[in-house]
Amino acid sequence: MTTTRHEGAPPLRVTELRKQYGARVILDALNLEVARAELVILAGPNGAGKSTLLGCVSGTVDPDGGRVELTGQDLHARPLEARAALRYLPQELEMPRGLTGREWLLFHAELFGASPADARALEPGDLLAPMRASLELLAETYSPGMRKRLAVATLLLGDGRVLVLDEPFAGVDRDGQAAIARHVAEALARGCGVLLSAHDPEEAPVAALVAELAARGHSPSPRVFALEPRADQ
Amino acid sequence: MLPRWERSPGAGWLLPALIAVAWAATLAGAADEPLLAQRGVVFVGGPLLLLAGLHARLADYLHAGARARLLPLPVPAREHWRAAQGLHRRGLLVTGALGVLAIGLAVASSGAQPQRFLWLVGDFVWFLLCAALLESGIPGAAAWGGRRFPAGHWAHELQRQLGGGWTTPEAVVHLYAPAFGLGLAALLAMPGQLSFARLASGAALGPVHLGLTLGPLALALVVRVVAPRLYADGLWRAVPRLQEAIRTLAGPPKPAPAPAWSALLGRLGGPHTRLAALQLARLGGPAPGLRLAALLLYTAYLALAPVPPDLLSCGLAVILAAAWIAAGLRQRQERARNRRLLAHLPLPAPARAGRAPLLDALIFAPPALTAVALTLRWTLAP
Repeated sequence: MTTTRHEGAPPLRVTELRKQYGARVILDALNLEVARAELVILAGPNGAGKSTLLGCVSGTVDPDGGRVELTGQDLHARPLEARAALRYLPQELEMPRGLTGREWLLFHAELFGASPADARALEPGDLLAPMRASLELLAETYSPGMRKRLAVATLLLGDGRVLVLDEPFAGVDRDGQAAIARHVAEALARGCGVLLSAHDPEEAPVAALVAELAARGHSPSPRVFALEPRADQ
Repeated sequence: MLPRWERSPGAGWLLPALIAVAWAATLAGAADEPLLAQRGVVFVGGPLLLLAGLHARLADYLHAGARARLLPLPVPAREHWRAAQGLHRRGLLVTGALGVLAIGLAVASSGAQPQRFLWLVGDFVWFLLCAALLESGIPGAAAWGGRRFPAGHWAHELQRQLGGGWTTPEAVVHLYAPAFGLGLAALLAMPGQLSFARLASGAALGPVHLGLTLGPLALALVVRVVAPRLYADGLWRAVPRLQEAIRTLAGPPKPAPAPAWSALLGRLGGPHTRLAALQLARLGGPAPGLRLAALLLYTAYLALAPVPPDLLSCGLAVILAAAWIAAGLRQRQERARNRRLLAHLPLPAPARAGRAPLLDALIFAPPALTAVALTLRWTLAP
């Protein structure tokens, strides 16, 4: 896919975002910007609207007002261009029925403008190596941890500029968490903006990621964007 | 009513409909034979017809994923039973209607007397009644016998011997109970059908005949009453064992290689079309390619045949079209999930909504072609 990115634009900019379900307002006039190479940790308790915000950012939830731009492309006015830059990891990982893990990987490779060789190159990597023998099996039969490894691997294909990760460390073993953290750090080093949701920014895998970035001398420093349940709810 | 998850479009009526068409053709072929010969066809065809949709009718009792998912919840066994009965009853109703329709079509196309229709339907409905009562016994027996019994228990030994070592012992009952249940239904219906034959020949029924007719029916009734109790006893342990057996029988979930036509469609319609085509190939039920080929070949035959198609030919065309469309509908069931999976990806709007317009066109074009061929043949008939 040919995309026209606004190179000066931040990977993600959310302006005056509003979302309500019935009479219940979840997000109201929310502004958020994720700069190049910046890690923003979206924190907040259950019901604070983290998943709703990530849904609006990824285009899976239609906001009632406001604007979402990915690399300067309006998500609703230019849906394909904006999504070409987006790499979204949902919290609940479904797999398509009838497709093997490898076929799902190749599907993303084609979609993100990567070659099948790029997809195959991921197989011996730290994410997929432990489940390599299962890649030819139906993806719907995978355990939650395997699903997450596969889903994260699909995010590495092509030239993604914005990683939106909903609880990326939940449900995976310690090695898997370390592998995911490593790839997030590498994406940041390439200049990707990362929006990562976590119930608690102090939880071990997130803290480890922040520590690794600090050890690398990564700039800008990670930032916590806290959402609280609205007082009027 | 408890929620249900999986549904295979057409599973409950498609195969029975195909058998019904074949049955009607066989009955029509024997139209010149005496009533006795046609009764023989009904005696054989009835159980075949019910056997065709048996698994689909009974699937909700033990096999459905809903049973396994709801098992951790404090849902009484009678609620599970009730939830499964809806599908079972509908299936029986549809199958019975198909059977009566098949007999009616055969008799009407041969121009036989309505009385012959009534005798043949009487035979079939009597068997259907016995089967309806006994079929409930199949999940009852399967739940009771699908558990693990202690070593040395007679049921454990029976499971081991009948399993032959190629499936789990607890799954053995699921292999034998359905065929045994319908076989028993045919056996119990036989005295009643012989009584009908006696009446058809003009002879009267004595007390012995009546006893032999109604006795088996009473036995079937007992099975119907006992079945829910057996089911309630066995449900909680039989369902996990069945799930385990399904996994063991299915082996590693390695699918068939992607067919070449899915790659071709992918080149024409994009990656989401290939994804949908793969789902059609792998989820659309057995042999979707064969179904399409059968429909297209039969359409060609109807278009080129020297005489315009009769009612039976049209019925077969409709069934073949339904068989093909059912495969497509199974893929369309994945739309909601595909929509969730694809919504955030850089795909055209229809694809993000889970649709694959090119594949949809391919699914509906062949039946449309068949309809056009039939219409033209009738319109242009002299």
